[in-house]
Order: sequence, then C-alpha cells, then structure tokens
Amino acid sequence: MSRWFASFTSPMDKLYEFDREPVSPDKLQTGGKFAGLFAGEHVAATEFVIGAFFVLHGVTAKDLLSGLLAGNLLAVLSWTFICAPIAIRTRLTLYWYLRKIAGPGLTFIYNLANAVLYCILAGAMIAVSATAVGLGFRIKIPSLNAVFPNSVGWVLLTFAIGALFTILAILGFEKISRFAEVCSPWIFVVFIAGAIAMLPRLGVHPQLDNLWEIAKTKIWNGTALQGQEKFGLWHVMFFAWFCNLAMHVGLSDMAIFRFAKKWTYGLYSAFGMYPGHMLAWICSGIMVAAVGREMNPGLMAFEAAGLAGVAGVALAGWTTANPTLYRAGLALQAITPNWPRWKITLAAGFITTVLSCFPVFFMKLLDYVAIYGLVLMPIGAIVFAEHWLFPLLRIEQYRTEKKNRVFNWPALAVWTGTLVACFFMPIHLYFRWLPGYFIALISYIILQAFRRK
Amino acid sequence: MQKMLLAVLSLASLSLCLISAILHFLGHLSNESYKVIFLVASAGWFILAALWARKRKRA
Repeated sequence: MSRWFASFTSPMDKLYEFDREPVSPDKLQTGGKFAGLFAGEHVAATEFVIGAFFVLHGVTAKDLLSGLLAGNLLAVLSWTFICAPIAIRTRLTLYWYLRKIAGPGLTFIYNLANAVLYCILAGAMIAVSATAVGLGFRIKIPSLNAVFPNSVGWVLLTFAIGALFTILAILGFEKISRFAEVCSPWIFVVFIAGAIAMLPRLGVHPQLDNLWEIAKTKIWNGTALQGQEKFGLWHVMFFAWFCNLAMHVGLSDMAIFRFAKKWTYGLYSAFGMYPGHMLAWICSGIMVAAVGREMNPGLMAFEAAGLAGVAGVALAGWTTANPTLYRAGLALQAITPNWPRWKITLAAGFITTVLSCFPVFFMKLLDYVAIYGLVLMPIGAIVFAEHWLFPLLRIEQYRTEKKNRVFNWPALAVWTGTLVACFFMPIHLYFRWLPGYFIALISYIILQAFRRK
Repeated sequence: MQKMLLAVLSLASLSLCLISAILHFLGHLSNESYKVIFLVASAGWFILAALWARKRKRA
C-alpha cells in the first residue's frame, strides 16, 4: 500500500519542488503587492452570477448591505488571524506543510479533490462566458433549475468555448496571465459603469433622491423568484464569509502569505473583498433587476454596456478560467507524472468542458461554492490544531513525518467523519461549515491525544 | 517619459468608460452614444495599457 502510494507521491513532490524550501527573507513582498493581487483576483466572471442570485433569492437591501459588510469583514479577519500567521511562521505552502502533518498519501488525496473542484469551477466560468457569446447566435440559456443542457446549441457553444480556452491555455498560460492583469481593472469598471448606466431604467433620478427607495422596492425587494429559496441576512453574511473558505480557513492561501513580512498583511485581503465581493455583487444585482430578473450574465452586460459588456463577460470567464485550468492541471499531474504540460492541460480542459455543458454547476453556483469550501475546510482545521493547539496541549507535532508514515489515519478519519457529520446536519448548507470546523478541530485533538496514550 | 504618457493615457481611457456611464445616468448622453464611447474607450485601454505594461516590464 505504502509503496503503491509512493509511486504517485514522489512525482508529485518533484512537481512542487520549486517551493519546497521556506521563503527566504529577501523574497518577501511589500503590502502593495498583496493589495494588487487580491484586488485583481476577486473580480471574476462568477461575480456576475453571485450578486444577481442574491436578487433572485429575495434578499432585502438592508440585509444585503449589512450581510456583505459583516461577511466580508469575517473573511478578511479569517485571512488575517487564521491563514497569514501560520504562513509567516512556516513560510511554506499548504502542500508542504500538510505533507509534514498528514503524510504524502493524504496530501495526494487532497490534491485530487482540489483538481476535481477546480475543474467544476472553471466549467462554471466557461458557462458564464457562453451566455455572452451565445447572444450573438441566439442560443437560449438554460433555465434556473436546469441540470442537463437544454439544447444542442448550448452543448456546441460550451464545447467550442471550452476547447478555445483549453487551446489558449496550452499555447500560452503565461501570456494570458499577463493579459489578465490588463483585463482586471477594466472588468471592474464594466461592473461599476454597467450598474450606473442601468439606474435610469430602474427609475433612479439623476439627483439620487430615490436611490434607496428603488433599491428597496425594485432591486432587493425581499421577494424571491418562484422556485428560489428566500435568503436573509445570515445567508448573505455566511456566503460572503465562506466564499473563499478553502483559501482562508482552509489555508490554501498560505502559498501567498508565506511571502508576507507580517501576519497583519492578511488585512490587505480587504482590497479584494470590498471592491470584488461587495461592490461587484451589488452592481450585478442592479443589472439583473434591470433586465427583469433573468439570470443571463451575457444579456445583463449587453444591456448595461453594449458590446463592451459582452466582451467583459467573455473575458472575465476566460481570464479566470485560465489559472483555474492551470491549477487543476497541476493537481492532476500528480496522477499522470510522465505526461507533458500540454497533455495535462488538455485533460483538465476536456473534463472542464464536459462539466461546463451541465448548467447545474452555473445555475447552482452558490451551493457549489458552499460545498467547495466545506469539502476542504476540515484540512484547515487539522493544520490549525497541529500548528497552534498541539504545542499548548503538549501533544507531539508532525508525528507522521517523524515516523515516516505515508498516511495520517486520524486526519483522514477526521476529514471524512466531519464531512459525514456536515451532510446530516439539520441546518442550511451555508451554515454547516462552522460547526463542522469545530467538530474537525476537537475530534482531531482527541484522536491524537488518545493515540499518544 | 513615454511610460508616463502611456500610463496617463491608459488611465484616461479607463476613466472615460466610467465618465460615459455617469453622463448617461445624468441624461447628458443617449444610450447608443454611451455604448459607443464605452467601446472605443475600452479599446483604448487595452491598447495603451498593454503598451504601458510592456514598458514597465522592460524597465
């Protein structure tokens, strides 16, 4: 068993070899770099969908504003107090730190889970782009509750866009990443300008004297669309908090914060949260209300900003699917060690493209984001317990590494056990991760303390 | 000097995108004119910002 796993894990280690050593002091970055990184990364194609869904779920204007303010603050604090301190103390990526704690076997499984989740996310981004390109071909967008494609046209469209994104990612991932740097400020402007331009259609006066009234009655009026669940303050707050759960509480942003000079650099995540996960979501809410609450990002952007808006949706999908495809490819490389880079990207792109045909991933994006964070969250709890709580409780740290074990079985039991417990929790999906986190934290400590005895 | 000029012009293009939307909201620009200006200013941003980024990379 150990030898079988070693055949997979040693090529995976080679893949991540370049960041095996802790970051040296001369490589540390300034706060401005973190602000720029977060600001660019959190204005993506999915923002067109998320903000619009809050309107369709009947959130009131007051709940939306207070929920987004509080939820994004909690997300910023999670980066600052949970992720950044561990990152600057270890100066390692989560991959290498998890390897010390959970062993190469569990790290392999974690990577595989990540690859699948990345492919689904990139698939949703392709579907968002397809809504923009589909306008030109008059292709009908699947309905809100659709699981399967609604027409051959939709399948052909998503396949064509998926194939194009994959080919471009194979030809030049680096070039697209540089292009994305040029795109991201403009995409943010598309959100803001689009929302401003749609205000007259909703009846907002140039003096803005009736803005709040329109917001309360015509945009976030508290009435959910038929078939959509009614959301309130807690749903919005928890969504804003867990939207990047895998990154902050799940610790995958250790890869970024290991370059930070101080743990307080976690506060720079506010530059991504408030413009991206607050302002952009508000803007897409305004746009969807102005097009009669039709969930069609391409149509929303076309009505709001014309052809430039359509280009904005298509480019937002492309530039955000590109790094996601890359990350999925990197994670998949673990199981196909001898494949060249292009072949891996092709495989990841093919899986992603097939998934993008199914509208369920795009139409149920909010639920998918919740599941994505939930699946990876227990790993964050395990690392947090081993890093901070084990020394306090005098439990030996990094025993898996010291004993040269492939698997940390208690960690695997805690991971799966937590997910099973979360599955059966009689509360809304959005709230399950929080008790789940404490279940993972406490059960891992108990299991490891018991094992010591 | 050229880098500075490209920076100013690209940011001006981006600002024009936003200004055109505000002018449309205030009723000073028709919907069609706003969309054309937004498109042209967007093209300006992509050209100028790409050149600016290239200059920055060389420097």
